[in-house]
Amino acid sequence: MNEPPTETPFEEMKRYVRFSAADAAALARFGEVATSHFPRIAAEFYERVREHEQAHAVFTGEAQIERLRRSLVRWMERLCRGPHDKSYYEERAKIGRVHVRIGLPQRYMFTAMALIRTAFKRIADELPAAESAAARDALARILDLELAIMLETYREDFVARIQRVERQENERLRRELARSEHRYASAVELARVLVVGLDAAGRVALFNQEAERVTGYARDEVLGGDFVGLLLPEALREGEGARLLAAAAGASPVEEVWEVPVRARSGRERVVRWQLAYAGPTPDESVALYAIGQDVTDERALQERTRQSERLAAVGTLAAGLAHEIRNPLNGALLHVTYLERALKRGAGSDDALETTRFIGAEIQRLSALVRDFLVFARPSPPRRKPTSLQAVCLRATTVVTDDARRVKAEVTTDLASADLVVEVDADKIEQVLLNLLRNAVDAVEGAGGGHVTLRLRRQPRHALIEVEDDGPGLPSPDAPIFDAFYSTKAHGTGLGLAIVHRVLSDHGGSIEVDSRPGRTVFRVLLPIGSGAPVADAEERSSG
Amino acid sequence: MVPAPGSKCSILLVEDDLSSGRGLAQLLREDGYEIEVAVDGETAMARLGRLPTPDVLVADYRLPGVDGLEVVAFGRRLHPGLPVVMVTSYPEVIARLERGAGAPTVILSKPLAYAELTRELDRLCDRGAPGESAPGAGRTVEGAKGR
Repeated sequence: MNEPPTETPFEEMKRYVRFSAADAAALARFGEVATSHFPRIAAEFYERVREHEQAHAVFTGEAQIERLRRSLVRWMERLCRGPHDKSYYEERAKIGRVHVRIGLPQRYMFTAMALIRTAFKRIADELPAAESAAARDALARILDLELAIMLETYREDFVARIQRVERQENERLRRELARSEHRYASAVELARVLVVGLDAAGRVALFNQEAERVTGYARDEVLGGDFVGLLLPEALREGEGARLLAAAAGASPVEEVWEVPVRARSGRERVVRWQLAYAGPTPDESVALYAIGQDVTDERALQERTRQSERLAAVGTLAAGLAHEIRNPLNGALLHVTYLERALKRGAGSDDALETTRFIGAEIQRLSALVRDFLVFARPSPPRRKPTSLQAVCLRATTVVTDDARRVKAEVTTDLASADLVVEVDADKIEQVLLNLLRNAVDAVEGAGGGHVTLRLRRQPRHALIEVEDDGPGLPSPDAPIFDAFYSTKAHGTGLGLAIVHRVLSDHGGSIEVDSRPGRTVFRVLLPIGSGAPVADAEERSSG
Repeated sequence: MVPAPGSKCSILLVEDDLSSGRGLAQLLREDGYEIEVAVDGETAMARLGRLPTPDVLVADYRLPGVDGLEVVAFGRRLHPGLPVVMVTSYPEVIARLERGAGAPTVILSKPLAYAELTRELDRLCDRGAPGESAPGAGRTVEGAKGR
């Protein structure tokens, strides 16, 4: 309370033990008598230390002990002589810190001090009675101060150590946190799922790589933007979009799984199956709703195709049965019409009647072609492969269409590879493919009042390339599903020609693609050239 | 198309569809062929067991009871090399017919193109008496093509 504000800790300690100038004087007088005992006391002191393993362990050798003995003597001299000032405190504290540094256990510091205290007490006891009491008091005080200083150095060390440990611990925690944050960030970034976070207002606050990949938007384009407006197709904004916003605002419980088309940057829609997780009310701009999504577009499309082909297969089976049943009456009708036509000719029937009969015959033929194509499409037989000269097949197919082509002013030319190309295929089916393509090409130029059709055959390293090119008006649309069954652009087409082509080529492990613009349409057929043995002496070559 | 007099080609037609059978018989008769019609496989087998043996057997593949292939097999056991025309409305069985019927067999699909049929019949009749061996395996002709 009344202490001056500048009092040092040592002064405060001295005040506490009531160490006075009288004590300093008593010590000085004690010192005069005791000095001659100091070497002995120091010797005893270090002899005692030798008896205790842990205390002794801090020494490095005899030379050091000798040095320490001398410094203990000086220590005792200074204790008696003083002055007990700031530099005294600092000197003592320095010694204490050496003890701490070399790892002397505290208990040895106490017991050592007790040893010195006992030795001094004996000397003080020898003094004349008047001096003896004062010396004992002064010694008790100064030795307690010594202990206090020593303890203080130990305390400093403890504090420093604790701080160091804390610092290390903090550092470790910080590193751990950074690592785990990095791990989470990587997991979110690299996961092959879309990870999108929305704030309570439905703005994008998190957008990972996969989300960028699927939507085509870069992160900086969407962060802070309105998710519903940016990514949902217009038709879904009111219903699904509103529900999502309500979920982000915490106004309604989230549906856990939410499958919805997302409009990518290109305008294409990708179906994404989201799992939603509401993180709870949050401060502005942090994530309130997590949406983890998977692009299921291909999966859904595959399912749809599977469903469709199952439906088609079921319908196909029924229809194929029906088609068979139709063939018998068609057969009967055709034979009877043939007979009727003949009877009319013989009986000089009217030209009109004869024409009508021919018309009926042609219609039956058309119906039967439809049935035949349909059966080929709906009930394909596996290809019967034989080494086949593609040149020969090309020439056969060209010959078949030439008459029809001439009638509609279409000029069909062939441009075949000079070396014969023999491939293991079902010759009849490949001829069917070429016929269908050539007929389509002829029909295409017929609409334009005539033109050119080219059938080209080339060898590629692993494939035979067959091109059917025409200079007709081209396909009405590049996206027209021309290879689908029953899609037709022709008034009298069955819509099966290209579907059969596609099917036959798939069965052969081949492929077809089309490149069309007004004035030039090319169908490119690729047939794999098998790795089988050379088939140069194919029967097709000789039989043509 | 009409064979020379005195060398009429005799045909056993196995066809369960009455309309088709009658229409075809009518046309063939007019064109000078000698036609007998059997409406099922059993009747056809019974006829094949009697003389005279027809020059060509024309059989529908699908028949009630005994099918066309069995009729052909039976006919060939009695008359090795008997020329055969098989008619089917199942293009997917053509491969099986080619394997099962043996030579010489022509396979035509329904609906029949009459001109195609008579061309094949003339060829088979010209070859001469049954039993004479003929080269080559069965040949497939897709009916009603490219008229």
